[in-house]
Amino acid sequence: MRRRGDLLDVSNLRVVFDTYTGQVKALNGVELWMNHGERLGVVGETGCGKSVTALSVMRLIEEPGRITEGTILFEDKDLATLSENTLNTVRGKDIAMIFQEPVAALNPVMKVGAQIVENIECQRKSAALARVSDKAEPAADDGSPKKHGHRDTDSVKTMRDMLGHVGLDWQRTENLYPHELSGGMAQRVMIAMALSSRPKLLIADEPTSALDVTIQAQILNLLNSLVRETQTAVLLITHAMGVAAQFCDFIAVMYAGNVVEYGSLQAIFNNPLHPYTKGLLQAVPKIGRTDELQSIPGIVPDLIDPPGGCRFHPRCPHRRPECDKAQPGFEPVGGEAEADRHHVACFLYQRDQ
Amino acid sequence: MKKTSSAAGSAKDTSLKKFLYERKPMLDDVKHSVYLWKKTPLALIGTVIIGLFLLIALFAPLLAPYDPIATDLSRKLEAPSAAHPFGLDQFGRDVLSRVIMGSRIEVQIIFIISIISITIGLIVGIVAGYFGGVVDEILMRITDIFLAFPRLVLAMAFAAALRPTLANAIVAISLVEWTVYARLARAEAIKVRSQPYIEAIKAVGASDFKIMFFHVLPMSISPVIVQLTMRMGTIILTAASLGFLGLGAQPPLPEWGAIVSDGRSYLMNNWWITAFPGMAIAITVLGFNLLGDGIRDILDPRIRR
Amino acid sequence: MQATTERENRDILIQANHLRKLFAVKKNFYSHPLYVKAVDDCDFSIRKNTVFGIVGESGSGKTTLGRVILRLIEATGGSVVFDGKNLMSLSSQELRLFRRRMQIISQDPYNSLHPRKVVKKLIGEGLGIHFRLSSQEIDERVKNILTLVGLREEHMYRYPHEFSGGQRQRIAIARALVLKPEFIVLDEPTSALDVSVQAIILKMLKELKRDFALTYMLITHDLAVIDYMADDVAVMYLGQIVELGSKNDIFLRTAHPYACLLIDSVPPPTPSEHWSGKILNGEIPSPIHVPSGCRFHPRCPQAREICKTKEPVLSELQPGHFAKCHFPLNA
Repeated sequence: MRRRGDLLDVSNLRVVFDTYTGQVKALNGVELWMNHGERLGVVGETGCGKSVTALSVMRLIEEPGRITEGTILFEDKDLATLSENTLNTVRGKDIAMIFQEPVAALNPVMKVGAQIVENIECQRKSAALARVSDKAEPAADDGSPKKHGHRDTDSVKTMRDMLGHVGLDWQRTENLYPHELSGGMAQRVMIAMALSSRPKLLIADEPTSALDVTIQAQILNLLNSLVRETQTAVLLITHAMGVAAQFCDFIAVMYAGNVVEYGSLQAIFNNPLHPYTKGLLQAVPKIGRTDELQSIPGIVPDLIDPPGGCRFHPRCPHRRPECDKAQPGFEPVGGEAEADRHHVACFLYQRDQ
Repeated sequence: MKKTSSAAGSAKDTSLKKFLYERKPMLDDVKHSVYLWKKTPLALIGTVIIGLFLLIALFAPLLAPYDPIATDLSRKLEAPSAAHPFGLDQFGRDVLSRVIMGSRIEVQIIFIISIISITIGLIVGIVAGYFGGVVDEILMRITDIFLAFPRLVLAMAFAAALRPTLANAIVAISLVEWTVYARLARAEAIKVRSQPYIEAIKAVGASDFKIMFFHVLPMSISPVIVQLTMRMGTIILTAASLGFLGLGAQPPLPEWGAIVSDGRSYLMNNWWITAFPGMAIAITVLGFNLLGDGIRDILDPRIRR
Repeated sequence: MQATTERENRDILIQANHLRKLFAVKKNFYSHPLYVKAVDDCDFSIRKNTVFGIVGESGSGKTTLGRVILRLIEATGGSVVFDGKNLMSLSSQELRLFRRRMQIISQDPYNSLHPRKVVKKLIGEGLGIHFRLSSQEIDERVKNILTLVGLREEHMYRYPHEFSGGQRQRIAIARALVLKPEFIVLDEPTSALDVSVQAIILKMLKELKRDFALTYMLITHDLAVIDYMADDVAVMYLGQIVELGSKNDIFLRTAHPYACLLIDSVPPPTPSEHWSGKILNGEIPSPIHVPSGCRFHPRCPQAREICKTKEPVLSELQPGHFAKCHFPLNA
C-alpha cells in the first residue's frame, strides 16, 4: 500500500473490547495519516472511538481490549506489531501524550518538579539505550541553589526550563504536589513533561475539555506557540469544533469507530461531504448564530451490535439501498486540490463501481 | 404455573407477561448477578455451605436421628459409631442430633439479632448521616460509647445483668452489634446525600422522611448487607461464647456454644462432644465469611459495570 | 433594581434581592472559620416567560446561585420573591408544596436520576406528592409526558443506566415538567452531552418554554448556548454579577472587561473566522481571599489605581444594561 503520511499512517485499524454483554467493536478500520509538523484534529462524539484511536497509537489499549487488525506506521516502524521493549523507546520519547484529567495523570505523592525530572531521566536512559543519546541543551543557569542534590543537575535545569516555557514560575511550582495545582497549571505541567523529550508527535486527548474557556484559551495559545517553535506534530482529540477549527491543519471526523471524512480544515468546514459531518457542523452553537440549530435524528449505535454496512445509515438523511449492505470505501474526493487530501467514506461520492 | 381453564390461563399468561416485562430490567440484573456469582468460586462454596446450613436447620426434626435432649446415662460418653456417628455425651445424648437441632437455634439467633441490630443501625446511621450537624454529633457519640467497650465484654455485661437466658443473650448481642451498621450506614448516607439525584428528589418536594428511607436507604444498604453477612459468623461466635460462658442458652438447649462448654471437661478423653459442634461453628462461620466476600465482590460497582 | 414601574412588576416572576451565600470552612476543629463568598450580594429579576442566562467560569458561584434561588441551599442573606411570595419566609412544609412551581434540571444526567428506580417511579414520584391521583392516572400522566419529551411508553419500566446521556436528560426534563412548574432552573443542562444531542435538547427546551409558558434560569459556562437560548444575561465573577443586560447588550455592547475577555476566549467553530486570541491572564482567585476593590482588578488589562481600592457598584449604563466597573467599555 502506498505510504500516505511520512510521520504517521494508520490504516484499517480495528480494536475490540470483550465485555460481559458481548464484543464491542470499538474501531472498525480507522484510516488517518499525518506528516511531520502537521496538526491533525480527530473530532467526533462520545463513543466514536477517538480516544481509543489515540490510545492505540500509543499501544496503550489494555485488557479486555485488543488490536485485531491494521497497521500503525510511525516513521519506519509498525507500532501495531512492535515488541514491548522497542515500543518503550518510542513511547514517551518520540510520541508523548497529554490527557483530559491532568491531575489524575500525575503521581499524587510526588512533587511536580521531581516528577518531571524523573520523566526526563527515564527518557534519557531509554534514548541512550536505543541510540546515541541526544542531548537536551539546558539554558544558562541563574546560579540557583541545587535542591535536588541527588538528581542529575542537567535534568533539573531542563525541568526548570520546561516549567518556564509553559509559563510557570519554577521556584513556586517545582515543590508543589499535584493536588495543589489548578487544572490549568496541571495541564501546563503535563505539557512541560510531554515536550521535555522533544517528541515528534504529541497526542493531546481532550486537553482542554475539563478547563474553563479562559484557561482553555491560555492552554491552546501556549500549545500553539510551543509546537510551532519545535515543529512538533500534534494529534488533537477533541469534541469541541471550535478548538479543532482554531488549532488544526487537518481534520478527521469519526463516527462509530470509523473515520468518515478526512481532509484539510478548509475542506471539512467549508465543503463537508459526509452527511454526518454536515449534521455535526450544523449542530454546533456559535455566538452570533441566528438560524436554528440542526440536530442529527436517532442515536449513536450500540457497538456490540453495530448496524451493517455504513454504520451511519440508520440516521442518514441520504440513505441509499446499498448503504446497509457494504461498508463504503474510504476514497479520495476527485477534483479537489491535492493539498486538501480530502477523503470520504460514503456511497454518495463513490465513483461508479 | 398451572392453568385452570384456557381463558383464565391466557389472561393469567398476559398478566404474567406484563409482570415479567415490567420487571425485565430487574431480572436482567439478577441474571448478571448469577453470572458474576458463578465466576467467583469462593462465593459459590460459601453459598453451598450456608445453603446446607439453612436446609439442615429447616429439616432438623426429620434429619436428627434421635431426640437431642433424651438422656441415656447407661450409654454416656460412648465413642462415635455407625449408630451414633458423632458419639454420645456425658448424659448419653446423641451429639449428631444435638448439633443438627442446634442449627435451628443458631439460625434463630442470627435471624433475630440481624433484624434488630440492622434496624437500629440503619435508622441511627441514616438519620445521622442525612441530617449531619448536631443530630449527627449526638447519635454518633452515643454509638461511640457502645464502641468504646470490647464487644464481647459488653455483651457479657448485658447478658449477666439481664439474667442468662437465650433470649437475653440475643438482646445483649443486638445491643452491641448495631453500632457496626450505624457507622457504615452513616458513612454511606453522607456519600449519598450529596448526590445530584437526592437533590433532584428534594427539588420535587419530597419530605425528609421519604428521602431518607426511600432514596438514601436503598443506596446505602449494600455495604451494610455485605457487612451483615460477614458478621453473621461473628454473631454465631459471640452467641457461642456467651453460651460457653454460661451466659447464653442454658442446658439442655442444644446451642452449639453451650454444647462445647458442656463437653469441655471431657475434652481429653471424649473429644467428640466438643469437636463436632466446634467444627459446625467453624464451618458455618467460614461459610458466612466466604458468602460475605462474594456478595461484596458482586455488589462492587467496579465489577458490575 | 430600582424603580420598577407597576407594569414591569407584573411581568416579573422572580426577584432576587441582595442574595448572599457564605460557606464556612474550618481548617481544623479549633480554628476560626473562613468564609467562601460563593454568592455575594446578587440582585436581579427574571421576567415571566423569558430565559435568564447566567454565565461564568467555574468558581464564579453560578451553580450556588441557582440552588439558593430554589432554597435547595439556604441563603445567608437576602431574599427571593417568587410571584409576590418571599420564599425565605416559607416554612419547610410550605416550601415543599411550593416546590411544584419551581423545578431544576441539573448538569449531570448520569447522577441526577436515582440508579435504583425505574423511569415510572422517577417521574411519578413528584405526582404522588403534589396531586391526589390514582395509580392509573399517574401511569397515564407519565406516559403522556414521556411522549412529550420524545421517549416511548415502553421506557417506563427501565432503569436509568439503560439510557444514553441525552435520553436521561429527557427523563430529567420529564420529571420536572410533569409537575407543571412555572419556573425551571437549568443548571448546565447540556454540558455533559454531545453537540448533536445538545442541539436536540436545547431545541426541545425552547419549544417547551413556548408551549407551557415557562420561565428559565439557564446556568452555563457556554456562551454559545447562552446566545442561543437567553433573553437576558448576567455575567458572574467571584460570586458577584459584573454585568447584566439583554443578550444584545452583553454580546454586542459589552461593557465589563471581564465579560469582553470571556467572550473573546471562545474559539469560533469556523476556520474562516479569525480568533482574536485575546487572552485573559491568570486564574480565578480563591473565593475565600477575594481581591480588594474591584474583584477583577488583578487580571484586568484596564485596571487603574482606583480599581485596587474602591469597589465599583453595579450601575446602569443604559436602560436595563448594568455593569460593575469604574471604566466600562463602549461607554
